Amino acid sequence: MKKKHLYTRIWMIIFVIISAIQIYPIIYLIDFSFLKTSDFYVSGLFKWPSSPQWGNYINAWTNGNVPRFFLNSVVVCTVSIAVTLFLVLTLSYAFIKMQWHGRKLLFGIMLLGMMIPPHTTLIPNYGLYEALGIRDSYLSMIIPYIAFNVPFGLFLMAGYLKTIPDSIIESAKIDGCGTFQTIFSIVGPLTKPALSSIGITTFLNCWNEYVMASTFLSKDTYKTLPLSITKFTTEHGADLASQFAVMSIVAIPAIIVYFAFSEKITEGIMAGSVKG
Amino acid sequence: MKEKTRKTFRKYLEVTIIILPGLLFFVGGILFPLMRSLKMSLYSASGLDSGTFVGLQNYQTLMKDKIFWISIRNAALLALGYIFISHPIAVVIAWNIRKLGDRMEKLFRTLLFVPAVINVIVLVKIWAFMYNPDFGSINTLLRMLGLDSLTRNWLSDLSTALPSVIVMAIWIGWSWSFLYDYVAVKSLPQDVFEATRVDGAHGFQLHFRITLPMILPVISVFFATAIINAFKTMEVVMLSTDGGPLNTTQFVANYMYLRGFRTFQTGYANAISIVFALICILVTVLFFRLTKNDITE
Repeated sequence: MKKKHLYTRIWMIIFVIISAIQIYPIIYLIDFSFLKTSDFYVSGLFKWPSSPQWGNYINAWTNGNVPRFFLNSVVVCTVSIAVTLFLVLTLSYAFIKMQWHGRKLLFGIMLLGMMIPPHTTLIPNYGLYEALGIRDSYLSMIIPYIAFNVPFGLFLMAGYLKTIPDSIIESAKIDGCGTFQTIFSIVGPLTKPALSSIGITTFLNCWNEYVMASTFLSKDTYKTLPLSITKFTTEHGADLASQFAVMSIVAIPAIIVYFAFSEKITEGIMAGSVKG
Repeated sequence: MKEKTRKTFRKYLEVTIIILPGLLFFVGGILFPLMRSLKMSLYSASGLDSGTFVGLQNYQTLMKDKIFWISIRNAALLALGYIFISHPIAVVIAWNIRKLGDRMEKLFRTLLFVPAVINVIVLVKIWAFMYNPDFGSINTLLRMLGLDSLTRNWLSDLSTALPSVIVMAIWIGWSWSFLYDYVAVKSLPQDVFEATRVDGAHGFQLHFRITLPMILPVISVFFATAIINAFKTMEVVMLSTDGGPLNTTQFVANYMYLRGFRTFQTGYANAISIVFALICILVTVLFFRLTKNDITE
């Protein structure tokens, strides 16, 4: 009994150390965002600010063009999430609950999309969107975000949908439900856990996406929030402390969403990995 | 008979209507760009000008491009790091976290995953600051420990730049590895372990004989993802060393970007893009074939 106690205690210490390593950069971020830039050069792993510099956040908010970019991020994320969820629900139903020729092949090809890095589409899409006149617009973000989030969502959803017995769908059919009615009023509510975790992962992916946004968007009108970091760095490079404040502003919404829904993310990925 | 054909027709019509929007996004957002990239890789394109048809010339130049091979080697090194450093740590942690009791398990699981939700750009910038020779935490820590001789300019020193970038990339990706490994461990049937434990299998033997074969299909997915993630390393490099010093920390995706958007060699960049996409597809197909893992079933 005593031996086991010691064992757990050792593991406790290891976990505390590893968590500290994982959390340190985030504490560092918040800590430094309240300092004066001149304080950066004073040695120390943490620096207690003599008086927290809220001014950094005001600088960040105005000079980083945060309100506009924040709004753009919200628009792009909302549309991408809504369309992704709609497509994932309908597609997974067709692939899992309907029998037709070519089903397996098409499903396999679409899942392969999960393994293709978005980076490979940067160069062809730049020219394409330029030619279509949508490079500097919400569309140049929304289209690829949806295209790349659907395959992973489909993968999670397929795993979950298999756990839903066919008999439920058949009885809905007997009650006179058409295919579309079955999908939206029967399957939709039943797969809510999977849908919500797909929604959250899609949110995190879109909210944090940087490469496409920085490549395609050149006008401030459409830029998304992560670009406020680079904008601020190029325009106010010397104001290091405010740079940290910009980064905190970008990071905090994602952290809040995560703490509100952290259980859902784990649950959803678990549901997807359970094989039916 | 006629009734049956009508029914089949109706079913296929329905399937078409259901999958068409999703298919359009897939084709328009992934497949068509790849095809366009393939076509452009055969042209001497520069900038938005498509240039003339040059056949496989871009690929021939690419095969002799030293920087490209450096970037492949670096990606391979990082993939090895993910497979032999990231995942083993994640698996051990995931295995033992359950022994802490429900509340502690939840707490540590939540904390360990936090970095995964933060923008990579933010994480890279913080790391670049931590590597800063003057006020970065790493040199500060070394000075506190009296190891002043070890302090250096981590990201621009030729001998430490690559290891520094790899450590940073591993740290940034670790939270996701942990979550997936945790879910994999959690989904193992516990009664099997009880049974083998009764039969006298312990520790290493237990894991090697029972756990490993059971999680093999999952591991194959992790290996494939680890390799692909290593190849698509871009933000991490772009905002820390940008491939320098002297291209020692160049990675495939970042190199493609450099050729495409800084030197405007569009045709050449597309050739890199195609090789890059082919590597990812090959790795995926190979790992799934090896373990006979059919996720479409």
